[in-house]
Amino acid sequence: MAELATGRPGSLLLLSFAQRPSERIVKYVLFMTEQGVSVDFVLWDEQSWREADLPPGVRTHQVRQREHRLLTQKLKRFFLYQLPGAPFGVLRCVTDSNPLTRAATPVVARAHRLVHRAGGAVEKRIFDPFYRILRPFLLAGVAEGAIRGRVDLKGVTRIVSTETYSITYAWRLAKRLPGVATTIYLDRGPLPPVAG
Amino acid sequence: MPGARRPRVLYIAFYFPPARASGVYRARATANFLVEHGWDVTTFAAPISFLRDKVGSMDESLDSTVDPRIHVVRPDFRKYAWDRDVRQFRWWRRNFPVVSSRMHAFSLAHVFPEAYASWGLSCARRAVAMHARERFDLVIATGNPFAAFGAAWWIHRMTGLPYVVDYRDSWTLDLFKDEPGFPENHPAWRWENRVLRDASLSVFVNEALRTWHQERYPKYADRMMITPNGWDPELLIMPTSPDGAGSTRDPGPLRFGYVGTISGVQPVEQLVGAFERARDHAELADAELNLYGYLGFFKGANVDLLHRLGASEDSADNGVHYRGPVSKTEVGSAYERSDVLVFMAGGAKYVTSGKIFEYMAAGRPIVSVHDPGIAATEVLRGYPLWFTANSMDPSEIAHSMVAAGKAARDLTPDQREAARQYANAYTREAMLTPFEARLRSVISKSKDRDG
Repeated sequence: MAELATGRPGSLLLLSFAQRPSERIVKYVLFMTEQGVSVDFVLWDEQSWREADLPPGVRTHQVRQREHRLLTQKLKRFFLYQLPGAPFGVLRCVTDSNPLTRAATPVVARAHRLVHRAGGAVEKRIFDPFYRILRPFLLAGVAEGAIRGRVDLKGVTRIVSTETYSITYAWRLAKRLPGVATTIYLDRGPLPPVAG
Repeated sequence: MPGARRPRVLYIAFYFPPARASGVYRARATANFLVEHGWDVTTFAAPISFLRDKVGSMDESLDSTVDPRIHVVRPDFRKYAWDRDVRQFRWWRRNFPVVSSRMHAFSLAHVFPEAYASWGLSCARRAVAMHARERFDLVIATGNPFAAFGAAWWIHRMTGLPYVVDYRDSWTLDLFKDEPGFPENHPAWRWENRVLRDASLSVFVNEALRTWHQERYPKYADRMMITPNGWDPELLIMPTSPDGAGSTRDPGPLRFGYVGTISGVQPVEQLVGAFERARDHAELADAELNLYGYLGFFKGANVDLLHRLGASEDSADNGVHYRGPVSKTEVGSAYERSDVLVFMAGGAKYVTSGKIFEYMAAGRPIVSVHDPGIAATEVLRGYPLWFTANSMDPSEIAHSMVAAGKAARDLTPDQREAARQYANAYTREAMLTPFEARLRSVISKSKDRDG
């Protein structure tokens, strides 16, 4: 049952900042939509969830591109890839411009690939472990932008944080929406109606 | 001996009344038995707030069955694995959920491999402080959860107190799949080895479980004993007189009854399928199968179970009715309303189930719906009103249901009395007497060693 006897039916706000969809969550969403529950889903990448058979009636709010535009991500790309890679761009122009030096172009290209791979290793071993700690904070701000003007928070009567990265945002929403159940449990019970 | 101090035992039993998990009856009975036999008993148990708010598993009527001389202490603990309401998360978890999650995983891998670990640590701290004020003589830990075993081991390491571990359930053996419950290098194996190595005694509910552990840990085999579950006469209050005078069966449709928690690991489909087939027989055409008990052990009980049972409280086409839970102190009424008792159990050879003893004490035909090789058959074999198909085939089980139904209709007072006499050998008191004697021996040996 999606609603109790009185009041406007409430809606479900689901959060997932995981980069891969989860079958368990897809089944949960399917169950809730079959009960007639209105669902807003703040997720990382819409396409991958749709490919995982997310029901079509679910309204999605993607954060992937917004995360990509975060200053931390821009700085990471600049210092690990763009800055180290810049000299190779110049070198390539030089080697390509002259028939005598053109033979060196593949060498330059290979060196550029090695530097890029080193950047990847630094990203994975040094940047990512710290970024993961900060990611819940950063995505809480990003998600707010994703739903502003698009989700009627006054109509939300249950918030479900489906994985660790979305807990901080769930907490911030819980502070703004006292009385709205905010849980990490995939609660299949009926939603309470909107208060008032 | 006049003037001799009563032996003082610390009994670590997470699930203790008013908890309603199935292991609570053994823990309750053990504590009561010890205090009645001259022990000073302190029990460490789960916080009430945890039972009420996190697992929703309480039967408050059990509280009054605990001897008031038992001192119950409820150490608190971190409930990371059970906290679901984000508003109740601590500051650290709300703001650094990834770090918080990793710390929890680290503690499972490197401190103790169970979500109840912080309760075990809490018990150990509390025990050491209490022991410093007034000495204990012995620690008994019953599991699950096995953080109780960890607590006993930590207490032993800090104080030298001897301890006994009571395997109400199995730790590293998956009872239902009959295979190890953890991968080979899992920390649970290291923990179990050290717990058994340093324990003065380890106790199992049946021979199959003891044998499995003896084979796995042969160095400690001589310190392993069996203390089966039993039934509690003070909890089994039947509304009609058990004097066997005349048949107490009401005229009308035969009533099959299952009493107890119904869980997802039980063969519910075979039960329902067999009953439906049995109703094809003229004797059982209007028979009903009444299910008394909770669906699942914890809050958020599996609603699929009701669907799998095809049961309802209203008239049911298949004769199966879900009657809801009955408190432990009221089960006698459920037995009285049943002509035949259905013993349904999941799992294989290691499963006895505490319920079987009470079923026998009710003096009714019992029909089995379980794997033929389970440990409970060791007990049932001598019960004069036992009906089994030795098979999980619903058609075969249906035949034994028909036979049990016929026996119920023709049951004489002498047959009922013979059944109850058999059950009397399995009272909790009968089961615990050798255990208690062994505990005294443990204390005596420990004192001799200490000089």
